[in-house]
Amino acid sequence: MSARVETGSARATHGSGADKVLLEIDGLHVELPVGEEMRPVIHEATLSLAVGEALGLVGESGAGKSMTARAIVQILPEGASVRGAIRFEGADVLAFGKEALRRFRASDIAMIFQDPTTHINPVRKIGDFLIEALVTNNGVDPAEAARVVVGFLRDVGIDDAERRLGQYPHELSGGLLQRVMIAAALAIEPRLLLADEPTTALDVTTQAEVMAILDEQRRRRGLSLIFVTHDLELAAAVCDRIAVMYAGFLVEDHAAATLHEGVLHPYTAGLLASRPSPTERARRLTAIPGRPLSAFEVEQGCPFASRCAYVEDRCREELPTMRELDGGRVRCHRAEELRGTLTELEGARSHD
Amino acid sequence: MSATPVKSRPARRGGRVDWVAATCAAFIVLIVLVAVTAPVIAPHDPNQLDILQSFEGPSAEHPLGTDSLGRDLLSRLMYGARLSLVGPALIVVIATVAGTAVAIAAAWFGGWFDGVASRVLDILFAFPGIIFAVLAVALFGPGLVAPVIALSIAYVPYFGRVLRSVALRERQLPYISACYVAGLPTRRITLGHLLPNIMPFVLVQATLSFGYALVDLAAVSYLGLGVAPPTAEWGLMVANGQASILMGHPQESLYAGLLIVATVVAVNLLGDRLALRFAVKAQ
Repeated sequence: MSARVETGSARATHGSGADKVLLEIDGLHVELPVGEEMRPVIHEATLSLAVGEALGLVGESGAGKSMTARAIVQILPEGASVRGAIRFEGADVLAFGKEALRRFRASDIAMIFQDPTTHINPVRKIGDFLIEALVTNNGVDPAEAARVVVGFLRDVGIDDAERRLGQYPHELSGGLLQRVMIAAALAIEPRLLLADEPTTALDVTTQAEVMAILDEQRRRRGLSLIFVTHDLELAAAVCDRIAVMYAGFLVEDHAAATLHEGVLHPYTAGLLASRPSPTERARRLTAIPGRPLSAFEVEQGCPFASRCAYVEDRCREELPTMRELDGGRVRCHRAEELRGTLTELEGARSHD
Repeated sequence: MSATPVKSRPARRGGRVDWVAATCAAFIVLIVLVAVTAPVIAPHDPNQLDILQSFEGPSAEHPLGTDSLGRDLLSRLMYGARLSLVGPALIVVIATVAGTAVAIAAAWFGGWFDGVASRVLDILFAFPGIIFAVLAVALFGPGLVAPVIALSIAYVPYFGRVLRSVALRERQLPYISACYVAGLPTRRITLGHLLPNIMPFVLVQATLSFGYALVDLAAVSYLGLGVAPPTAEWGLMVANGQASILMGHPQESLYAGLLIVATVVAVNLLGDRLALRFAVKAQ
């Protein structure tokens, strides 16, 4: 596993040119209608994902991470306005016509949603749900499709797969249903897997299990993954690269393997410090002061300025640009000065 | 559907039997059975005249007596059930299919299509069905076909309006987004996923509309614009028997009227109960 992580970080270091780029998000800006006005939810996000790479998209609620994932498959709420470009193997997803978009969704991309109970049609059997895409989009014979999906169900750890096909979603537990959703996503053999907080709605005890299955299957099949979560540690464990979002802004893009040693943004450092550690003595958790800002509340300057311990005048006036640093990217004026201090601080705090 | 038990399926919920609904359902089944088997079980030919035996009281030969022309009332009511039920059934089927299609299309495509469809439904709403039926008869002549088609059109808004809002709510649900992401074609999402999920509402609306359709169609017949005498039909029988009421023989109008009322009440009660059940389930 560590070998894989390292290749992932190498990829991140050399940027987009070095490896085969699968997905490129370029200056993505999304606004949603709220009443009369349009409110921004994502500000100029730029990201790229290589073939076979796993990217963790991390942030608090409302940071824009789910919206970014939804923008990729074009399932934003009605009336959303989208600027920028999303390129999948060079083709602009935002410029796709109806049929091209359908084919893109049908064959290249699959999404695992947060709550399987609401994302699976309640009145149809598990079997119908699983084979539908294969039968409708790939023209597979239903009996053959059923045979295929049974294999995928076994892969995600469901042993009595045949029996499950005849059951309705309400007869399955959340964890089991999430595995069914993962199986459905794998079954279409996509290039890119979007996982939108796939374990958040599950029981704590099944979360780890489902995450392990998702991680294992993805690695075995060499799929690219965008893993949306608010759990930085979990993302760092299963992904090659971490992108941190705050208030609709991408603030840091970092190799997962070196995240702990070389945090670049104060916000990321804050996230790391505010999490309990099972290996250390109980301590007071360090909270980031203030409340998370919504994307539309950011007026000028750095979005994190109001909560940042290292804030200076420039931060309040001028929005920092996303720039390369230490093999990652960061949106902070003082990143160079703070280099090293953030990690020390985190270390100091956690040994308090 | 529920007759195929799956081993793991939990025991059926709601042990208490809804007697009102059960009674209504039983009554409706009975009426339908009588209508279907009328030629076999009717004691007499419904159009067999016997002037000498007009206005007979109940007897072994004529259990419900005879009308002004000596025709057996029981047989006429049995035969009458056929047209009286087939008409409303046709109306409900046509209006349900058309109304549901309009509702789903409006909810799905939105925009100008939704605007136009909704306004057209509003305009249709302004006309009572019976006016449409009278107009249709004026244009195409009396009979069963013209009023049935006219009433079908008049009933479309009842389905369209209710189901549009239901479909609108349903299409916002996450599982529809999941269908998009799976790359399913529109036809597949609307007919394969959305429709089955709004089916309870379709059924409730259809059941409730059946009662209204029956009354409207009976009214058309009563006005002499529907099927022509001597055909046996409940609405027509109410009209037919009117003259005899003053002569002290109310049975023809009374029995036919009672049957209309009983059927409508049974259907509507059943529809209400269904609606209630689905509403409880939805919570």
